Amino acid sequence: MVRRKYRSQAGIVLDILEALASEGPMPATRLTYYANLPYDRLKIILESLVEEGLVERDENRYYRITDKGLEALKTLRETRKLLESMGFRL
Amino acid sequence: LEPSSLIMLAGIFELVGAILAMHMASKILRASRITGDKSLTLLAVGLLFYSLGLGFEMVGSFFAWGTMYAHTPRRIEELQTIMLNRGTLLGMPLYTVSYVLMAASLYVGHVRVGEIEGRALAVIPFIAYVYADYNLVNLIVLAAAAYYNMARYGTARLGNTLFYTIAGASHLFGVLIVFWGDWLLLLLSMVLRGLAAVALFAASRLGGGS
Repeated sequence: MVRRKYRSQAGIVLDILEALASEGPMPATRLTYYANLPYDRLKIILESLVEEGLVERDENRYYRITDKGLEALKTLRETRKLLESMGFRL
Repeated sequence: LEPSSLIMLAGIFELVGAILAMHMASKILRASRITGDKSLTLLAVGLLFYSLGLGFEMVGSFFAWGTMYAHTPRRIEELQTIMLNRGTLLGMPLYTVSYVLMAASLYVGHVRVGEIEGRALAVIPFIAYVYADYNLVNLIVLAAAAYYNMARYGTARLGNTLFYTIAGASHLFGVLIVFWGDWLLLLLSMVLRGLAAVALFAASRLGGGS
């Protein structure tokens, strides 16, 4: 059996929101470390998170998590247990 | 246990299972909306179909239980068989859709099953054939879904191991009833389908269920 490791879009979003919630505002370049993603791919996801109102960008190009983002993070943390129990990796 | 108690037990498990599956689907759907992850949407819809299947079976179980106390000129076994199978037949296609969605689109062919035995089911042979066919198809789809899950993610988790095993056993009993014609298998199969959702929920509450 071929065993491959997958990382879901949900897992990436969870990593980004958790990093911003625990480490505070940071630029995209530093977020690449926490999200474990290349810069160009991270930027695409960050833009969609900004559009959804989960993350905002200030004038110094630092990203910070919004109240809506904190609510979303809480939901994702709750769902993580359920998804992991079904074999999905976040 | 008396058949009437088992029918009631099946109805209760189906009710609880349906509510929990719906609850889990709504949580996953919310996560899918937040993250834009389409695979989670598929998983949530899969659980929703499972919940609807249990809902149909629950209605069938409670109607069947009700016929035990009804004054009717028809033979009670025939009436109960029809009542139980009506809900199950309506639920079966939903289980199929559910497993396919949960395994991210696999497809299987239609499989035929041979002779029917058993007096209770013989009163409605067409239903028995379709019932067994659906169960067999569901068993195959479920086995494929379990294999696909393992091949993709590598490890078996407590939650999906319990869900696939219990749901698989329920469909296996659904197939065996055509050969053995034992009422207990039908009821056991219905109880197990509800229990599968309950077990999945319980495993998720135990902290990821490694």
